[in-house]
Amino acid sequence: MEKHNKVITEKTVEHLLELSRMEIKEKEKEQLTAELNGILNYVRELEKIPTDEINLDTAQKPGKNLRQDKPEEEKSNEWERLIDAFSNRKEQWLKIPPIFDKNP
Amino acid sequence: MKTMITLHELTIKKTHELLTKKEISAFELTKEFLEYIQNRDKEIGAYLSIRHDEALEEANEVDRKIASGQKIEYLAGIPMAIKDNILIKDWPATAGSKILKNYRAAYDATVIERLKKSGAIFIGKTNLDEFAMGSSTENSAYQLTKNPLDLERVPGGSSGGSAAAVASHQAVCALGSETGGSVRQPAAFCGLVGLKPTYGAVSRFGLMAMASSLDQIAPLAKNTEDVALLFEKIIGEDKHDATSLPYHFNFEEVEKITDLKNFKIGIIKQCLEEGLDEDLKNAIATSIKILESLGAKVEEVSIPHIGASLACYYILMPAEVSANLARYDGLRYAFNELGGTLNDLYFKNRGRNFGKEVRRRIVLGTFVLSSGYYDAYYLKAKKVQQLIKNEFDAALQKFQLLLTPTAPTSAFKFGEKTKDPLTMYLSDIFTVPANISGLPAISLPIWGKNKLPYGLQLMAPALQEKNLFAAGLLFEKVTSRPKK
Repeated sequence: MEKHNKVITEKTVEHLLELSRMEIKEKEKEQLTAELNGILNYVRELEKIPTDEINLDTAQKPGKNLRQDKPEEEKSNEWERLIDAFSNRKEQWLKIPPIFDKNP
Repeated sequence: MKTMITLHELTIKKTHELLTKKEISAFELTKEFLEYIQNRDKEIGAYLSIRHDEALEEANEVDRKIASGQKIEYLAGIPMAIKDNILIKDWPATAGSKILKNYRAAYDATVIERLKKSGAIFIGKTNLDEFAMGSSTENSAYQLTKNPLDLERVPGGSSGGSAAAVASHQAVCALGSETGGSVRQPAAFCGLVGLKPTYGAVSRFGLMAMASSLDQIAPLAKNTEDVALLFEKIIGEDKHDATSLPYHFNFEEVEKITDLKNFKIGIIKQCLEEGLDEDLKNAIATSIKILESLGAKVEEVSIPHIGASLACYYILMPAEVSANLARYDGLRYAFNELGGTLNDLYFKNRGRNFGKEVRRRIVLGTFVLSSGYYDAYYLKAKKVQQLIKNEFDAALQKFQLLLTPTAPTSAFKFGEKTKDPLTMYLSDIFTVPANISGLPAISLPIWGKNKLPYGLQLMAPALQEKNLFAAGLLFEKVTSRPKK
């Protein structure tokens, strides 16, 4: 990968991995940082394009076919099938490990 | 079996004729496909799962209808392949990712529900780049898929499995999905026709979301007619997808169009200025002459900021990816790495079971949406997207079709573009504009002097897929595939 201006540092990447709840190997971080800098340098070409005249509030039409905010009659056992996919359950609830570490 | 059927000659209408004339039963036909797949797919790797018993049961249902004298639809009894990010009830749907290794769909996607009503046979689920992120199907966590036209090359992506299945005659037609060219580019690489429908034409319910504002389920087949017949059955409003649109389309009306005299085609000049291969340039020039000979008026047109589409896309798409893929927590979709706290589990499951490209896009999306960077990246990209949309709208006031190549090259070799993500991203440079502007676009196979095909891309105004089909049908009649 060619050299790029550093838009983000490895430290920022570590923070972003934390925010997106992903653990990766230490040695992969450097490569990821380099790749992200390559992509960010490429997308920064948008900076040069004047967009002052674009008004997104008027340009984008609101959704027309939003449904009524009314509960629907349950027809099928679809929710049960969704729950069936849980890796671990207690009755109809998703069972999860402790949220807090017992020995912090 | 009453007659020997050559699978590679089958189109939807031909198959329909064989079934209704009772020259073959849907059961026999499906069985023949399944037997063929058993050997052929060892070489190609198009399928992730084969619905052997289920497909035969679906075929039996069609045979019962025929036997009882009921009229069957064109799609009844047609063996088709479905990309593995589209849900078929009670059947695995991995999206090419380890994180969904043990997942089974809880419901049918709307397109599946509609095709089931038509009597279609879902023969198997096809390989893809993990969560549809890639342009070569090399990002699948499970297997490589080979291009049936040259086994050393990629089939394109992300719907590479669907394209390879059809091109190797392991299905009559297929569904893929499009976010930035994932059906048109593999269609071009495998010598097929692929359509990216207008945003909202097809319900996304039951398609695993990648970038919801760009995603569309998209048909792939050997010719325009098959793509149109498939399209006809999957379109229209759906209460489960608020972005779906009412759409009335009748293929018979398209078939009545006998020339392109009412069509003005704009050649997007920026797309031919790129450093394209001479052979591709010549193939495009020949195609333009053919379209002119069919009566079309052809002119150059400028979409001044089309070149910024890909940069725009690589901000908007990852932003949506980072939000959409937050649901894969290793808990709710049948994968569980045990041990530690809830937080540990998230980090382990997501870090280890998402592949590199998926992780890269999640991190990138998290960055462009984060406080302090949102305006500079995400908001800026939204504005440039609107600017490009406006430019397309202006051009489409004057033109019924716009023309570009589908991809800058023909199929490339395995590993050729995996080292640098940007190189891979550039494969989508001509397809992404249709996604970010919501327009329909079709890729038609064309050939130069080289062995491998290229794609000719036509774009049309929103909800005017009929223009694409009309041009495709007429174009195909006067061009032919080179003999092997």
